[in-house]
Amino acid sequence: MARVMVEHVFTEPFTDERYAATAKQLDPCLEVRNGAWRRSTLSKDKLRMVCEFEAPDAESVREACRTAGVAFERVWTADVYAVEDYPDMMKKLTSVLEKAGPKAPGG
Amino acid sequence: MGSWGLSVRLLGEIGLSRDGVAVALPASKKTRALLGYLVSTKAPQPRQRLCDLLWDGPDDPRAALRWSLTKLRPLIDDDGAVRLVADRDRVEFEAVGASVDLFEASAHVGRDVASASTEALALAAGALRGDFLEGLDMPDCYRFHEWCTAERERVRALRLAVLDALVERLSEASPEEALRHARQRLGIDPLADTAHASAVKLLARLGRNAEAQAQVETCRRILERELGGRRSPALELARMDIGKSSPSAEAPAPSTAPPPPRVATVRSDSSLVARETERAVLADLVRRAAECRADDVVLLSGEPGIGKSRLLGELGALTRALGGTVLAGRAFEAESVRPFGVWIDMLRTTHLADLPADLRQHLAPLFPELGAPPTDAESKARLFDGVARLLRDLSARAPLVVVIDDLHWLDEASAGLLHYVARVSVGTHVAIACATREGELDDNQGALRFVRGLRHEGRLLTLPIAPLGVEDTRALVRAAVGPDVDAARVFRESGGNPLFAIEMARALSGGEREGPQALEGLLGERLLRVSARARDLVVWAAALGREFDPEILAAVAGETLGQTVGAIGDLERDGLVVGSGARYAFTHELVRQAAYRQLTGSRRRLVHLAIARALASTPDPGAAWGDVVHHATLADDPALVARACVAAGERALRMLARRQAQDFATRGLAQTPRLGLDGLAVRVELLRVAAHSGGMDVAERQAAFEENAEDAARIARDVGRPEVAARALYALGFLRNNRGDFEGARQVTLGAAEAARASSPAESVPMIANAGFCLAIIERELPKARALLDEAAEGARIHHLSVADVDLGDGYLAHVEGDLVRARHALERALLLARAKSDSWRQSMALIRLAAIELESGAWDATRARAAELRAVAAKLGEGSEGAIADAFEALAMEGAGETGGTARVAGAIEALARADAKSMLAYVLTTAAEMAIARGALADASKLARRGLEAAEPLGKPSAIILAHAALGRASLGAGDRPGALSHLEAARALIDHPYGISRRTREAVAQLGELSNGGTNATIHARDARKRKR
Repeated sequence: MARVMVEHVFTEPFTDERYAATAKQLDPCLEVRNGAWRRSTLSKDKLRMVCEFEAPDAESVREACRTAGVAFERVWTADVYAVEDYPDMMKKLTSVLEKAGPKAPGG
Repeated sequence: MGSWGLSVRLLGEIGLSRDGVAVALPASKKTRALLGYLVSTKAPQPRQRLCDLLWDGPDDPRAALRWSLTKLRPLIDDDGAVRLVADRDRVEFEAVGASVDLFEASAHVGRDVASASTEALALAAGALRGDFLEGLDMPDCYRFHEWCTAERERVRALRLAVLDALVERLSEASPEEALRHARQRLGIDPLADTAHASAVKLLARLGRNAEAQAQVETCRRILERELGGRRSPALELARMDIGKSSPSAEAPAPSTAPPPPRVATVRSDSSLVARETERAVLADLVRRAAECRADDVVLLSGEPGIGKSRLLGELGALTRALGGTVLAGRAFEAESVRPFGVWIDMLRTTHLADLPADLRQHLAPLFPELGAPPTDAESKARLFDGVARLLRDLSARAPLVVVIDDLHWLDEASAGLLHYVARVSVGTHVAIACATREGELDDNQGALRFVRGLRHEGRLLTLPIAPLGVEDTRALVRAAVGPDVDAARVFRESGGNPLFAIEMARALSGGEREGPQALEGLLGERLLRVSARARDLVVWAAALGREFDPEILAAVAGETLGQTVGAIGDLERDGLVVGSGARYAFTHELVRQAAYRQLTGSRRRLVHLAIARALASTPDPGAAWGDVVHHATLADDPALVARACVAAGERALRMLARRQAQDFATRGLAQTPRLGLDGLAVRVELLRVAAHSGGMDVAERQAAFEENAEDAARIARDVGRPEVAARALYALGFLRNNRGDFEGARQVTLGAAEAARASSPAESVPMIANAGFCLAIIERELPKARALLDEAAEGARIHHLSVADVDLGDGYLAHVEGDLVRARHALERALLLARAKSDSWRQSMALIRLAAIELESGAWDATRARAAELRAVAAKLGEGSEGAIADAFEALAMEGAGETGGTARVAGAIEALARADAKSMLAYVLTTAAEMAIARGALADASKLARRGLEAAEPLGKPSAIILAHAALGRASLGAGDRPGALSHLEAARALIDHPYGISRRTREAVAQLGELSNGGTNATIHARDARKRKR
């Protein structure tokens, strides 16, 4: 499996309703391709978004998006470097977050 | 006609005689047309062609042809001579000693007119009488019509050439004889000013100056009226000859018109003579209707003029006498294309405005003034129901008799409604009576179904109308004309046919006549005796049809309404037409035909053209569009026929007469090849009408429409008319989804209506299609993909949706299934649909699979062409893998064609696909490249490529891709002498071959080949076989 990243740019704010509708369209297309959504990062102005998927290849996600009519800027496969894999960095992150307050960023 | 043996007459009305005695032909016009065609073509004709010519309809054309042949056989075969030679496929008329007038006449002329002797030409002129197959006009059978028109033209041209040559050769030596031929020529073509000029010159040469001057005036008048006042130099030159010769010493020249005869008084509305039995049956019908027991439909049947209409009139009188209502209608031959024509005429006489709202809505398809017609699947059922309800309402307390005359011309939609009304009116006050010409019913499938249906149900009461006996004829003649006529002679010569008897009696009362008379001749003579203004007008009226509107008549004849009404008054006084409301009708169809026969050749065409144009240019032709089609066909104006067919077809669709809409589309499309590119837009409009008409009963017709639409779309695209191409595609989408018959579709719709309520089809159908296409792309659960796509196709067909994914999915699946022809067609359609909707991704998906099909077929140039198209689309798609895929196809095509640099290009394309992380395509390219490497003996390269292909395919879980990679690896191993390695790949491949996702045909073949090779086959044999297969 591969981590597949999808970049989206919107001309109108990507509202929660649109998000739900898009997910409803995309999920079955992904599913039949042995793919699954992992997480999405939406800009505050709701005009940019990066989504992460697990899928056999980037093309499976491209196809799923296009079949479902979900526009994208680019799709690429990625190697993931995450804080969980680096204990030192994890500690730093934890302290920063604790200083900032109880609210943790969503994912 | 020869006097001994069998003679066939093709000139004038078709006829047969044996030993000089006329043989009665079947009444069916199509059967007579078949005889004419077989005799004139002098060659074996495929049965299919004969069916297409005359029975191009949804019913069983071959059975109709067989029926006609059985009617003809006893008439033309003799004991010693089988002339109708037929086998399973072909039918031929072999003369075997029979003479044919047309061939004999042509034989006199020989090779050409110029080299024939004057005597031979005179014989030919004598033999060439009358138009070819006069009266066999069947514009509805457009193929026969076109053939007949062309033959008629050919015979006419021959006749004119013969007469011209005779006039020229005889004008010096025998001007009298030359004048006779010149007059004959004018009779055929009264618009030829040079022929008028010849007649003027001959008259002047004979010293008959007054006649010559009259001829000049006649010609000027004709040119003024028909050709807008064009001056004729030939005529003016001829006019200068008048007076050059000394006046003839002969007695004053006879006037061209016969002396006005003593015209018998016409007694209109004569009381019914005799017919006691028939009258009793009709009276009984009305009585039973009053008691709600008139369940039989009464059908009066008999020859023309026998008195059927008169009896129907009597039925009306009997009904009214009992306080009942009569709805009377008549079908017309010219209007057999007017859907529901009879019903519209009948129901208009009721008070439609007072109907309750729901009934108004149900009847709206027939009457635009009642509101917008509904278009849902059940509207036709509601229309039928609405009419039945209206009839029940009208007959609540007293009998209601529906009377339909000339049933043999009833249009198909009306016949369907009549049958429905007959079915649901059992046990009500409604009674039905119809009249038909004996034998002619066989030419009208709709009416025939109605009659057969009733007969099958045991509800048909046929009442054959026999000729009158001698005493009854005497009584009739006395009542109609007077007591001074030789009634015995009238009976002898008329055979007891009332119309004939009355005409005969009138003629006899006008003066002594010698020799036997024919009804046509009598009617023709009577028409000659009407006033000059009426004589001019009556031909226009006859061309318009049995019934005509004075205003339209005035418009088409180019006269004022006052002049027209005056002339109609003359015709009415002479008993030739009768007023009925604001309209007029010929007193009998035979009278109309006699008047129509006075029009010949080019004049007839011009008259029909004027009528067609006048009708088409009215602000809202409405019901008249069917008439425009009829007249424009007879005028041979393909552009107007096609345009009118669009309008008439749309109208038929609004009236829910789908089969007739289809017929209009077919008729219009038959004309468009003659229009070239100018006809492209109207062609697409006709296809749209066909598409909207719903399911076709005949698969060939459906296929022909689809093919036509594909072709039109392609042409429109090629000539840079995308808007027309898009409309053609729209029609094609509809057509493709239309498969199935109308009744079946209606049933499905009724069943599907419930389901459709849950979610809108506009939403659900594309979703289902999308799911099916989705599975087809990834080659998973192929049977389910097929089921989903079939479901979507059905939904799209029913709800008239155009969904590209249906075609895309079909194309992908057909490719997987190995049906490359279907795959290509479906993908082409999908491509066109996607283009029309500017959907670049779907265009790319179609192009990718089309390129793969070309590649697998070894069509390297075609592959590159598709790759180039794909590259252009990829540019619009932005970042993605499509550009890399286009490069890969290009590279594989180069490699396949053995071009230098191909291998390197393939390697580059593979890396680009790997970067784009498009594994499925990567696996395809790697495996295909491996197969190509095997073919050129580069086994190590092949092995590497195939192994990488397997690596790319495995994460996708796409069994076909995995198997193909194993198959390539196995073949490479075998080539390298590693049989155990090959067998292990074969085993791996076979382990997946029954995978539940479904395996492509290409994959199965690859495994079979590997198995064959492992058992000792050679790569060379397999390549040779592959090459042969590709060529095929």
